[in-house]
Amino acid sequence: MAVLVPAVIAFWLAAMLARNRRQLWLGLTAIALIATAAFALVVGPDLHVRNFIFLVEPDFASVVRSRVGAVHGAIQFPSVWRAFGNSLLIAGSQTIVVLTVASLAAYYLSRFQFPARAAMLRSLLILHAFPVLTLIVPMFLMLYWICLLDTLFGVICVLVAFELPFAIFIMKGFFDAVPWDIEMSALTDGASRRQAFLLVVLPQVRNGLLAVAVFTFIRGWEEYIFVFTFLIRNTNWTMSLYMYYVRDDVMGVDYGVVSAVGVFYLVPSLILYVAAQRYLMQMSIGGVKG
Amino acid sequence: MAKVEFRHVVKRFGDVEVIPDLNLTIEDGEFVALLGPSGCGKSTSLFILAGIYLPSGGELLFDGRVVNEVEAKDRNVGIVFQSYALYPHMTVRDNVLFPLRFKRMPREEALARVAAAGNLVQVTELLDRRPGELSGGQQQRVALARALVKEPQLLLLDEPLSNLDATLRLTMRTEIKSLQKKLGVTTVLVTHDQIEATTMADRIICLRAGRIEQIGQPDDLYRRPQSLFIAGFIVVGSALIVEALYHPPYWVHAVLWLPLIFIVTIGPLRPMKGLMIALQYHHKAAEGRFTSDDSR
Repeated sequence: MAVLVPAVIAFWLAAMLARNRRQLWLGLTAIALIATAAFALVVGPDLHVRNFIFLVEPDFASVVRSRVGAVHGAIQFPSVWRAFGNSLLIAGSQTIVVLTVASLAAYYLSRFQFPARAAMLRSLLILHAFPVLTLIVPMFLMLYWICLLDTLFGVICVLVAFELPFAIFIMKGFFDAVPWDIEMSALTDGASRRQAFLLVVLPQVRNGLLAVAVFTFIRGWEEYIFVFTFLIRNTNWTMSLYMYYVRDDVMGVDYGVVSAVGVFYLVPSLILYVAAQRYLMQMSIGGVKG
Repeated sequence: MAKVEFRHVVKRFGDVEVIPDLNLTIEDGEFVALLGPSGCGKSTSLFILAGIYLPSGGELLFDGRVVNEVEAKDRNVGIVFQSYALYPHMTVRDNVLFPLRFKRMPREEALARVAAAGNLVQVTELLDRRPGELSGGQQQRVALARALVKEPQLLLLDEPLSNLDATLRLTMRTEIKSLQKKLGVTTVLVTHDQIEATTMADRIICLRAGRIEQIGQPDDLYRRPQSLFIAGFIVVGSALIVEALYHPPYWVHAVLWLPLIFIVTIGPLRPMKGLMIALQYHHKAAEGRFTSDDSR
């Protein structure tokens, strides 16, 4: 912060005072150089590869603690890759299920008339109005009764149920924007309904699918409350739980490790956001039509 | 190539009866126009032909075979929509190739047929572009190529020209007409533009509220309209008289106005003839109908 705020202000000043483009570039480069140097000076000592020890050493908490002498009482951490894999599994399968179900359901809602269609659309939104925390106790009991407590599958089911209504609604907006003519044309061209859907309609809503996929994946990736409540064994930990326990355990000892875990946790979703940014921008356009 | 027959075809959407009872035969290789104002059931009949809508009653026959239950994909019908309905995510080539993907056909042969169809409507140089990069007229041609590439037994045109500008409409009119003559494919054109219908079709079927008002060659409809509706619809410029005659109290006005209109329309002889006949018809037979209309 101590570096960032002055740097940003300096950037603004440079942008204001510069009389031409060349001056501007010169000023900005100078400020950037100074800021980087200052940043390196301030946080440099804490910025070393050893912070990423957790990537290779499962029992890193003990190692970190041993640096200050207190070895006892460290939580047994699973390998970070295990947590990474769990997170990936939850977010990935949630994305796949949501995408499949939402696109099919939204297509049906958009194209077919059936009894209680309007009521269904309305109830979709009501489902989304429930705050998650009000449902967590009944859900815990339900998962317990159907023996899915402390399983990744149970968490995936719950997450899918919460993500679906909104995904369906967004996808319906996209499907509504696809003209009927195109589908009719595909049917007369010799496609069956399923082929028309797969070959002609789905490609039209590709942007919507990508947007929903990215959002669902990131929701699954960052999920904390449900996994915290429903997962108990440490082999089932996801990245968010791992992060939480790392913070719990080595906080006050080594901030560097905590931030390193944070960076490791952040990178995948950041990459995804950057890669899909173009499609996310279009979601607002498609969404309004819903 | 097919002969198409409607036998007592009925189409309802919920409680609304769009087509009460349609009986119609379209001969093999004929170019027929379904003409009528919007909402008269002409597009509905077209979609019934294409197999997109199922008739609520009656029978639809292709070459004497009932095709009510035959799905759209198995009817071998080509259709051109008003919006062209090209698939935006495919190149023109893939668009035209699309109907052939569902036929077991070697790829070389399919590509050759795409090239031939592209040649037919002169879009050969556009094959690698996407529909979004084409002008309206070019998209129209591509849509035609796509409809023709599978050598359909029936070609359906749903107001294909109404999105084109006036000059292009003229050239496309003659082009479609000559293409149809060349290929000899049975063609049904849906339009609300009487000029389009009269210039392109061999036979015009004039629809009104789902019923056939009159069937005939363009000239017949023009010279001997069997109802005021036809007269008003086909013969441009007679709107005033028809308007007047539709509302019985006003036909007095019509008589008063008649000399004036007579003078105005005396130049072009043919429309005037149409008008006079329409008037005669009204006096003889239509009066009863109009009064009954009024009492409703």
